[in-house]
Amino acid sequence: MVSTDSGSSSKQKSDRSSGSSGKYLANLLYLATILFVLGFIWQSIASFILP
Amino acid sequence: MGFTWYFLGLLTTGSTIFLWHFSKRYQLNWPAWSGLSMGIVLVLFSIAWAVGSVLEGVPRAASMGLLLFGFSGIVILTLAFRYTLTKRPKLLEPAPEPALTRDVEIDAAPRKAKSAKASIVSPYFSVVLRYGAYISLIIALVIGLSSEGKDYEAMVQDKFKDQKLTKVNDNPVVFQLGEKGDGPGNWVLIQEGQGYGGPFVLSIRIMEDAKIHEIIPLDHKETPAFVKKIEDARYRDQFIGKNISNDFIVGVDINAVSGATVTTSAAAEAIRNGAHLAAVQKFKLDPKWKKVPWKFGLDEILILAIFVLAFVPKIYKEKPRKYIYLTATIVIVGFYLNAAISVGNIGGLALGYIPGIKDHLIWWILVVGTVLGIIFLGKNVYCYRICPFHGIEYLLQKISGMKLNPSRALLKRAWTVVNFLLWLSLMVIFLSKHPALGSFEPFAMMFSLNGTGIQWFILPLALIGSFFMSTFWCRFFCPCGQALTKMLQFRKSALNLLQPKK
Repeated sequence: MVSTDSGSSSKQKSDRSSGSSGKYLANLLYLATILFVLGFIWQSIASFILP
Repeated sequence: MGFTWYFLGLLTTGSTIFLWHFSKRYQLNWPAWSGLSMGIVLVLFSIAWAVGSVLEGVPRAASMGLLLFGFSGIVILTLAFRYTLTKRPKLLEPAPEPALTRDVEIDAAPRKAKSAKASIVSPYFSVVLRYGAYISLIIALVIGLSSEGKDYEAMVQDKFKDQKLTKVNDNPVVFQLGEKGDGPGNWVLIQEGQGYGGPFVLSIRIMEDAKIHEIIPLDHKETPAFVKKIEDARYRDQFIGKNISNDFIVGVDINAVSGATVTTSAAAEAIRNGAHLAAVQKFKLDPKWKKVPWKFGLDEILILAIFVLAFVPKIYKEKPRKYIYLTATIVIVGFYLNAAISVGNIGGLALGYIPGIKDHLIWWILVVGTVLGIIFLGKNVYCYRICPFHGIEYLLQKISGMKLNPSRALLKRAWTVVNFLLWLSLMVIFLSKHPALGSFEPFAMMFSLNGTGIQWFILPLALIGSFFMSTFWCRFFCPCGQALTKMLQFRKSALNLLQPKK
């Protein structure tokens, strides 16, 4: 997602394909991280709004 | 708790069965057996530790357990697997498993279809969303900038309930404790300092003996990890009892706190300004204190060297130098100075939270240098070169040798998700005027081991994710990296607009 120059938006090398269990693990980690990031932002909003 | 033990029992049984099957396929020797067993035991132990800690209400202990035991276990397990699969002879050939139709479809799909940037909404709605996000951010920034700060008078009055408080100066705010004109001292000055993540406000109590008697933190928008670090080091205590005509310069008569140097310098600057104001205006002392010198020591030289070398392709592309450079960024920018840039720095920059260049050259080199590099050279040298967290991700990848990816459905939405997270984070920063509130990156926490609440779980997830997936955090979550990428895109669009059309 992060680019290093103005000429390209993504310079990731082509990823090696992974099996279905690998995909499940990757999905689990990805979704869990989103959940905790949203939890952190929610916690921040709550601490800002609530006295 | 009973369920935890039951679950752990299931995992232990499953692991034992797996080991038994594995030993039937490969001829395991003692290093393979030790690695696999130790890895499994460490992972199981970390799960038990983490669940126990969460149930006891100590998330920090849970995170540390996952990092120390769980992560070490995963690393040992992976190394043991790699060793077994490559070095040990197979005992029997397993029957080939039929490929899942879905996987075949996904892997056979053209690369373009896998693009994380593929839009999931209609082009018209996508444009509306994009401009809506920009407009809402501008509105949030205006609201944040025009909102009033806290009522410090009420906060100071609350601290000194039994004494009369009279405001004797507006900018900076100075209160007289007791009746006005009662002797020269007993002043309470409100001073603001610019930390690494944002400003903080202190009240300094100076009494008749021209000495500092109390420093009370009133409010702060600094990164919590840095605040905790200086509070743990009892940094404020070294100012108590000092005469107001002292220099109050970090490195001269004030000791810095390692890993929070910008915060310590900013706090010293705030206290120095207050004390010297009282010395001149109230106590009529001659200003004999030293002028604050440019802070250009070893730390600044190291950061400058790292920043300049980031522009040299030879350093970054050739193998032995690359590893030396990566290690330097992890050790110096990360663990030694804890100066990784976060989205809080970028949001703070928009809010006008800019620390003085004399005291905070490191901040200027990294934050302003990176932004100027993007504007003038069209290069983001920070993300894949200087960022210490990227260095850690890269080394983890080298250890694991694995490059998993989430499913195509998630990859398709990844670009939208990271944009949404950046937008949400900046909205929180602008509306609260508190950069640390929207800064969900685990950087400061990783390098100082100080964090708050849920952040404790983001760090192990980011590290474990990076172990299995190439640049997991940078690609899918980093709001700072995404903000820098947006800057590059704006630059490119602006240049395209400025170029004459053929």
